[in-house]
Amino acid sequence: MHPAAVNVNHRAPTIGRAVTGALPGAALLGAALVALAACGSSAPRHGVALEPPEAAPALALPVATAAGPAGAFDLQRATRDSARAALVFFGYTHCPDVCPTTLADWKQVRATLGADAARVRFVFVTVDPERDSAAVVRRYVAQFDSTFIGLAGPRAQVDRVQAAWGVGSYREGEGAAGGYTVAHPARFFAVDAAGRLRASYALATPAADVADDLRRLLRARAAEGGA
Amino acid sequence: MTARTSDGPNGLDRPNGTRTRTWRAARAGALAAGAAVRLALLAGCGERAAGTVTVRDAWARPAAAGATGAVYLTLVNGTARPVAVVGAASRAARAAELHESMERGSGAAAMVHMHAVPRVEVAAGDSLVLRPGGRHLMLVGLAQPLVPGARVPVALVTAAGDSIRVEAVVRGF
Repeated sequence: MHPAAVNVNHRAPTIGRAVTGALPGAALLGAALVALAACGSSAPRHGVALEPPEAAPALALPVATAAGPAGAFDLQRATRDSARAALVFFGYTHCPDVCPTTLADWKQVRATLGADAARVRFVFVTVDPERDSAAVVRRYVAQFDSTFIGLAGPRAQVDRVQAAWGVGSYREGEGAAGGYTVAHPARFFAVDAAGRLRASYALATPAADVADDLRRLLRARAAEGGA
Repeated sequence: MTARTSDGPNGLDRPNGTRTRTWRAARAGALAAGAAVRLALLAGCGERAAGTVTVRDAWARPAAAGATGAVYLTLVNGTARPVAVVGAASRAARAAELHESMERGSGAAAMVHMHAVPRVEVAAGDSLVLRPGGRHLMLVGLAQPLVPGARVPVALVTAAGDSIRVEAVVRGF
């Protein structure tokens, strides 16, 4: 599903459909069962959940390490194929306020997750590839946490990723002493360990809430018997 | 614009229907708490700093040399007159500007923007709070990396031509 087409009120209709058609006497029991199922379900509770879960849009970009270019990052390989969930955020390194604050929050998410953190990828994608090379982005995210993944690439490639995810960006304030700034999406995304896009979050969502949803996604994967 | 708006109008509706708010306004903490802090600060100024403009709690996040950084602080106007902040300066960077992060739009299409704030008026007895997700002092082209524990000299320039100097401490993330 295209993130731009997210229906915020998806849950009510889902439950409504489950109850519709049940015998009147069983309706209450049915609703209760649905409610119970929802309690134990993997549906994210804190962000805007995307239903039904579908494969996350394509995200394949060059990745750099301290040793230099290190091939390509592919989101499905990093999640579905390795049983890990992921958070994905589109920003830029010359962003002094919101982006560092979000990555600092992610560091807290990681700390809150404890041992589960090893099963979550934290992915920062630049929307300013003219200034952000793969090496610049790598160094930028490494300031926060050495496990964070920073991605950049040629403009055309970044454009394709943004189009697939339905996220925009544009330059503002060009010519100012401080150089231009870039308007970027105000939400980040959660992908489950089956490579499905599951939720989006306001950038200022408390770390504990994000961590709670990630645990839910990871538990669901374990319950499904996924490796 | 007065300093009271520095707490950020949450969910301000614009005539064209787009939603604009200081990013993180929702999380920024209760206004009441902010007011209490302000009162405490004013009380704390007491006789020593009565009638002056003081800056408290100046801090910055780590950033690489050449990169863009942000400084956060609280400016307390202990004078009986409004103080207008019209600029910033720092010898730690190529340029220093007062900026504000704003969120526009809603839902999946919401975007975060930054814009320069050319002038902020702080009423007598009021304070201007720069904090993550709202107003901040942007340092462009850092001469040195900002590493935790380092001190960054910055100054706020007033319309009266005064320079309010302070050293921001670089915190860890």
